Amino acid sequence: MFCGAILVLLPPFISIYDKADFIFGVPQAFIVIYGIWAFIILAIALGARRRSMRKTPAETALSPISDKGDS
Amino acid sequence: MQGGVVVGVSFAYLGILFAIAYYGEKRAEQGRSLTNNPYIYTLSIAVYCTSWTFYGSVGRAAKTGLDFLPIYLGPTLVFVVWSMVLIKIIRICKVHRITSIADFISSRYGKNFALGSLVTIIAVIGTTPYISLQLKSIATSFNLLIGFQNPELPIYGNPFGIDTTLVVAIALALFAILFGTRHIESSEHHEGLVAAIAFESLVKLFAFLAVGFFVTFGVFSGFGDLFYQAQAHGLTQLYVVSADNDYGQWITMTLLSMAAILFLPRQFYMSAVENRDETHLRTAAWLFPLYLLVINVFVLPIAISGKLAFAGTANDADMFVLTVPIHYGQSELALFAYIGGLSAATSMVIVASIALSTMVCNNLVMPLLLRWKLVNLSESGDLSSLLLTIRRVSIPIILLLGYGYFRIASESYSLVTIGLVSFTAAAQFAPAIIGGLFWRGGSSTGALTGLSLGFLVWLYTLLLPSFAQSGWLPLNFISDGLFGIAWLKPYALFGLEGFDNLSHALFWSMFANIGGYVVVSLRGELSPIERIQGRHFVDVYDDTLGQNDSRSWQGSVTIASLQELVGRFVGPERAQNGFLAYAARQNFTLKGDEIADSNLLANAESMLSGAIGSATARVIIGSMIKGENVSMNEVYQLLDETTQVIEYSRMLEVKSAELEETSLKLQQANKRLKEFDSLKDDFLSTISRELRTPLTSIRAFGEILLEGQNTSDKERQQFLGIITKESERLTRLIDQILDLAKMEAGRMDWSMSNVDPTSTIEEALAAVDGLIKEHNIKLILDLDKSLPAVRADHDQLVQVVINVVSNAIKFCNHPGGIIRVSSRPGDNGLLVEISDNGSGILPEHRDFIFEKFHQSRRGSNQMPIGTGLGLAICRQIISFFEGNIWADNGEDGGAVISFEVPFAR
Repeated sequence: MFCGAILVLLPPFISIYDKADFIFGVPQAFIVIYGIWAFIILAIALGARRRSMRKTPAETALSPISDKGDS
Repeated sequence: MQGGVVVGVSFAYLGILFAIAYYGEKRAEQGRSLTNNPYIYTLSIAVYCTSWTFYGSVGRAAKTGLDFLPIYLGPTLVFVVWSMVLIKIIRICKVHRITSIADFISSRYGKNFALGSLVTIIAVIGTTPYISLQLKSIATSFNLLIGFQNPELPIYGNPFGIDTTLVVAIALALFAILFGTRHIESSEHHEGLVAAIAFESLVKLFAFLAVGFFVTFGVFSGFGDLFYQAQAHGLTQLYVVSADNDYGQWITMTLLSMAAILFLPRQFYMSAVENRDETHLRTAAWLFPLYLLVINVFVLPIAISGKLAFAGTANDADMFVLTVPIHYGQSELALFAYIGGLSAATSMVIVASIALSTMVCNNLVMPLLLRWKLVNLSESGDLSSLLLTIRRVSIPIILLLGYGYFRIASESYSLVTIGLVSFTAAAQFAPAIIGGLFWRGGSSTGALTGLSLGFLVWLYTLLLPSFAQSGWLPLNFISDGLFGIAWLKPYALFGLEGFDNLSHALFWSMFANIGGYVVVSLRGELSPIERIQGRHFVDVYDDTLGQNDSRSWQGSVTIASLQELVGRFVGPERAQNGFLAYAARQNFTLKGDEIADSNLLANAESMLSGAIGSATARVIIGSMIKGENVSMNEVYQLLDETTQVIEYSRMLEVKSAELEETSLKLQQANKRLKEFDSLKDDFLSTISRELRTPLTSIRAFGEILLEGQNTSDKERQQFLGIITKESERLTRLIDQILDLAKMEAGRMDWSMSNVDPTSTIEEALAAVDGLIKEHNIKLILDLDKSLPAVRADHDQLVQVVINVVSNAIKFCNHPGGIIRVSSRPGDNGLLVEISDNGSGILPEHRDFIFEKFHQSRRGSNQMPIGTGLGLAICRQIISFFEGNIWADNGEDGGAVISFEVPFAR
C-alpha cells in the first residue's frame, strides 16, 4: 500500500497525469492527485478499522503515577 | 480597518485560548478529561498546519501551481504505515516517559547527555526559521489588515511605531510563558494545551474554508467557472506540478514532509508525547490526512482568484487569503481569515516554544548545572521553580532567535522557502530515530557523528547561504565558495550541480548523516546501557522485557528523602500523591525511615522523567545514591563473573564425572590386582609344592642310593629312573615358566610358516600316546583331512595340542576315560575341539582356566595336579596366531576346550 502510494505519486508515474487538460471542467492533475489522495485516506481508514491493535502495555509496578489530578 | 479593532480581536482570541486551556486543565483535574478522545487528538496533530499552510501554500500555488502539495502528501504517506512507525514511537514514549524528541534520542542511545544536548541545539536552531516564518506572517497580516486602504495598491500600516514583528514576538513569548510554564507537571500530558491547540485547528480550518467557499462560490460560480476563467487569462501553468517534467523538488519535498510529520520537535511532542491513548491513532491515521486534504482543497482556487484580482500588480501572493476578501469588500471575512492565520501561527509558536523550552531545560541546561555542581541536590529547596525559570527564560530567547532570523534572512524569502529550511533540519533526526527504532546496533557515537555531520552540512548548504543572500555574509560565499574554493560552493558542494538548493542540501546532509551514523555504529562497541536501551526500544512490544532499566538501582536512600527529592522538582504535594498512589498499587504502607527498594527508586526516576526528562532524572537519582548504586558496568561485570562461575562449575562437573569413571576403572583394576595377587599366592604355594614334590623324591632316592648298601641293582635302577623322571618334570616346569615369561615379554622366537593341521595334530597325539595308553583312555579321532594349511609356528601348535590333550587326560573319568579330538573348518579358520568325559568346568571358572597358575581343584584325585601354566601358554600361543581359545561343557557334561587358528592366505 505504502509502496503503491509512493509509486503513483512520484515520477515517472506522476508525469502521466500531470497535465493541464480538463476533466469535468477541472484540471486533470488537480483532480487526479486529490483523487489518489482521497483514495489513500479511504484505504487507511478501512485498514485501521480492521487491524487489531497491539495490546497496550500492562500496568506494571513501574508504570507512572496516576495522571489524574496532575495536570 | 481600525487598528484598535484588530488588536482587540487578536487579544480577545488569545483570551479565549487561555480560557479553553484553563477549562481543559480543570476538567482534567476533576478526572473528566476533555482531550482523551481521538478527535481532539487528531486536531492537536493538526498543529502541523501553520501559517505556512494558511498563507504560504496559496503563495506557492500562485507562483508554481500544484507543487505545494507534497508537504501534505508526505504526512499522508507516513500515516499509511502508522502501525509500523508511529505507534512504536508512541509506545516507547509511554513506556519510558519521554518528554521530547531530544529525550527520545538521548534515551535510546543510553540516556546520553551529549546526544540530548546536540539534538536540542539542532532543534532550536532548526526551528528558528520556522518561528520567524510565523512571526513574519502574523506581522504582515496584521499590518496589511489595518493598512489596506486601496484595493489596487495595498500599503502596510505600522501602528506601534516600531517593528510589528518584534511586538508580535514579545506578545507570543509572554503568552507561551503564561500558557505552558505555569507549573511543573509530573505527568508529561498537558491537557489544557492540547485542548487549546485542537480549538485553534478548528478555527484555522473553518477560516480557510470560509475564504475558499467565498472565492469559489461567491466570486466565481464554482470550480469549473474559476478554472475556466483562469485558463482564459493564461494561468494554465498553475494547473500542473511541473510544466517541464522536472520533479526533483517534488520528490525532495515529499521526503522532507514525511520526516517533518514525525520529527519536527513540536510534531513529535504533539503526536507522541501528548498522546493519551494508542487507540486514538487508529482514528487519527485517516482523519488527519483528511483534515489536510480538506484544508488544501481551496488553496489553488484562492491562488487563482488572487492572481486574477491582482493581475499586473506586485501583490504579495502569500497574503492572498487576506487580500482577496478585502479586495471584494468582505472585511469581516478578512478579519476571520486573519484570526485563522493567527490561530495557525500561534499554535505552532506555542507548541514549538514549549517543546523546545522543555528540551533546553531538560536536555541542555539542567544536565550542565548538575554536571558543574551548580545545583546542590543535597541541600533542601524547591527546585521546581528553578526548572520553571529556565523554561521561562528560554521561551523568549527562542522567539527572539526567530525574530533575529526574520531580521536577517526572512524578509527576502517566501514563507514556504523559509519553512523548508526548517524541515531539512528536522529531517536530520530521521536516521537516528528510524535506525534506533529498528536496528539494535545503532550506537550513541554513531548517532552523534551522523547528527553532527548532517547538521553541519545543513548549516553550510542552507542556513549560511540564506544569510549571505540577505547581505549578512559576503555574497561571493555563494558564487565562489568558502575562501574562493570552487568545490566548497554551498549550493554546489563538491561540484554537485543540476539540483535545486533544497534537494542538494538534503542529499548531502543525508549522505553525511546516514553515512556517519551507520559507519561509526558498525565500527564501535556498544556500551551495556546502549545495548539495554536499544533492546528496550527495538523490542518495545516484547512484554517480557522490564519496562524500565532502573532495576539496577540499589541504594540505602530512605523513602522520606527520596520523596523529598522528587518533591523538589515536581512539588511536594504531587510527589506525595505519586508515592501514595504507588504504595496503594503495591499494597504496602510507606514508612519514611525505611530504605527505598529498587522498584520505588525506579518509580521515582519515572516521576522525575515526566518532569525533567529521562537523562537528567537518571543523573539525579544516580547522584542521590551515589557510591551505592550498581552501575550497568558493574552489573555486567557481576554477570560475567556469574557466567564464569557457572562455566567453572560445569567444568568441575565434567571433571568429577571423569574422576568417577577413573575411580571405577581403578576399582576394577584393583579387583583384578587382588585376583592376580591371590593367583600369585596360589602360584607360589603351587610352584613351591610342585618344585618340592619332585625335589623331595629326588633327594629321598638320592640319599637311599648314597647310603645304599642294602639296595639291589634292580632297586637302584628303579630309583635312578624315578630321579630322572622327576628331574624331567622339574625341567619341564621351569621350561614352561620360562616360555610363558618369554611370550608375555614378547621375546619368544617364533618361526611362522604354513602348517598342515592334520599332521600336526597327529604328531602331537603321538607324543602323548604313551600317556593315553598308560591310563587306558579311549581316544576318538574325528579329523577332517582335507583342511588347508594354517599360518602358525609348527612346534608351538604341537605344544598347544599336547597341553590341551594332557589337560583332558587329567580331567577325564578314571577309569573309562574317553577323549575325543575333532578338527573341521570353523568361522575363523581351523576349529579344533578336544573333549573329555570328565565332570566339566564350572561356569564361574571358564574365564579363569586360561589364567596363569589357575588350577582346577576338581582335578581327578588319581592324577597329579598340573602346573597351572599349560592352558595359559596355549592362550598366549593361539593369541599370537590371531586365533581364539575357549572352554565349554559338552552335551555329556564333560569339558570341551576349543581353539581356532586362521587358515594361511
